[in-house]
Amino acid sequence: MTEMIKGYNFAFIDEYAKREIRRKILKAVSIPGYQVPFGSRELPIARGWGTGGLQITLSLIGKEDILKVIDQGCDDSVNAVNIKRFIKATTGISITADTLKATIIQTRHRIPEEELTEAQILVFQVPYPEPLRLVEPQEAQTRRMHAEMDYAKIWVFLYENIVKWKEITIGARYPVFVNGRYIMDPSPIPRYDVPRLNYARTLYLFGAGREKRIYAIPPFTEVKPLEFEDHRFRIEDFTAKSCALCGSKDTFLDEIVDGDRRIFTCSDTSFCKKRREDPNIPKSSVKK
Amino acid sequence: MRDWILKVENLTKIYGDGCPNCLKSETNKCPFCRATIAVNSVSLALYSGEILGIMGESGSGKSTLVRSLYFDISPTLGEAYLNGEERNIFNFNSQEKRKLRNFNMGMVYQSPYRGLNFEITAGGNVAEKLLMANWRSYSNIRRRLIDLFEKTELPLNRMDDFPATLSGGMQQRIQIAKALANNPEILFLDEPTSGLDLSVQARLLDLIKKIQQELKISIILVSHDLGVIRLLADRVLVMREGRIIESGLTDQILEDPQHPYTQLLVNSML
Ligand SMILES: Nc1ncnc2c1ncn2[C@@H]1O[C@H](COP(=O)(O)OP(=O)(O)OP(=O)(O)O)[C@@H](O)[C@H]1O
Ligand SMILES: [Mg+2]
Ligand SMILES: [Zn+2]
Repeated sequence: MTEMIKGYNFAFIDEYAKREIRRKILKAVSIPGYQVPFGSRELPIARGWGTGGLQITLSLIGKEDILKVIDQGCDDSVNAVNIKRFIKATTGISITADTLKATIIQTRHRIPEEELTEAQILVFQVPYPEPLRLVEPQEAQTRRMHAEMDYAKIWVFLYENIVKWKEITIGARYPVFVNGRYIMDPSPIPRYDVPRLNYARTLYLFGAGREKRIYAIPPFTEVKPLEFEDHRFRIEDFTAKSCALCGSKDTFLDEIVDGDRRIFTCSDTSFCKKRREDPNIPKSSVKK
Repeated sequence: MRDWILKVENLTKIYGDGCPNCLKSETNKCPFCRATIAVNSVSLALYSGEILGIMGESGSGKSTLVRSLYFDISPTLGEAYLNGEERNIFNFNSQEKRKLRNFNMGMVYQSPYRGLNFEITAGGNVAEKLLMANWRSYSNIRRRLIDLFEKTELPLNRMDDFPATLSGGMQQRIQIAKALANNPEILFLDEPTSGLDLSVQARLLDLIKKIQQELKISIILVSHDLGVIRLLADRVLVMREGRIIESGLTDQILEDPQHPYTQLLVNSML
């Protein structure tokens, strides 16, 4: 067991700063998809390595919480382990890899396979919070565009995508329309995860440390990917592919090149382990 | 008399701080404060289905006038009304102004660099207007683009090319197609044919005439070329030093100008 570091406040950040972050979170929850500026703190982890998500987690976490941290679906990557070690050291709370046991999950680039509940919070680490940056370099302009719902430029981008490639070629960071009001960057999750933002039971919080923005999707909020009526949004195609480790056909798969062989494995490593023990374990344990 | 569709009252645009004497200034440089009164107390009405010409020498305020009406420039003083709308459109909030720009008005600038985005295709430039109007079917958008390209006599096979690869005449036609995309009732043309070869110019003027007759759209046409005014405008306003100094039916003004300045303009052309 790691000892708690002495001389720091619980969860490292001082209570005053936590309260400010929680206020920003409340504002973000009240205006789904709107980017709320916040005073990003220095943390002993380099910016660009999840400090936005980390500050949200630290300002929300309590002694009873159980934390899970994943990096592209994996609980054991160096990045995820570092963050867990830091939070453990400054809070002493317990850590789990089991999605269903966690109360707070901090994630980089994935939504866990198992359906989350209203008792949980998913915190996304966001590298680039501005979905309109793609078509407009100036911050003052993108703010105006959001304020006035002047979204034609990003639609022209999608139109030209189809002209050029016959389809919309955006992979990760697929722009979504939240609650019929704001276009939002869902962070670099795969398209597979995008439909899972829509009317979810869980509170989704997004933190961008370098760019000092917090935004949110509250539970049961409409989240729609941008699409044309005759060029629909599509998720990645895994037809006829399955996980080489657990055999799942219904999970998001990572491609691994092994010599001249290409194999696929679940990107959600903890769920993959469960499936290896019990291939029939469902993705959703929520009673409907 | 036909109905007016746009009415402008005492429109003034001052560049600089301005002073109480600016509006009395004879020239467009205030002798007291050195501000530029680019447009000075201009009132006008645009009637349904007409082409209203605005002529005057360089610097007389023609562009400032139409660009204020299209909300590119915010005027210092003055009011403007659309028929059926009681509020001064200059007091609209930015969202309402953008709506008017997208649905009620179209603009063609002298320079295609101002009117077009050179980073996106010719078709994309026009499609942007449709997308602003919430068109969300790609095939319907393409069909409407074909329509607009045909109407403005643009080659369909250049639709997915970038503006920089098209001729000057084609670039102006793209601006026209874009301006017409959402069937506006008012079109502003600010020197749409300047800088083009004479033959290209002539074909573009024919096109404008044809479109006006077909769509019954109301047009404000700015030009310092009396030939263009004579060919297209029903009525004409003559501007000098930011003010309107003479107005009337085009034939009347060109045959029998009253103001000495207009006489000079007309005679110098003969
Ligand atoms: N941004 C600006 N700042 C200061 N003065 C300006 C600005 N824009 C225009 N002016 C001045 O306002 C006056 C009117 O300019 P405007 O462009 O409206 O004239 P114009 O009649 O369209 O001329 P042209 O025939 O050359 O296009 C000119 O004296 C011009 O120098
Ligand atoms: Mg001009
Ligand atoms: Zn697996």
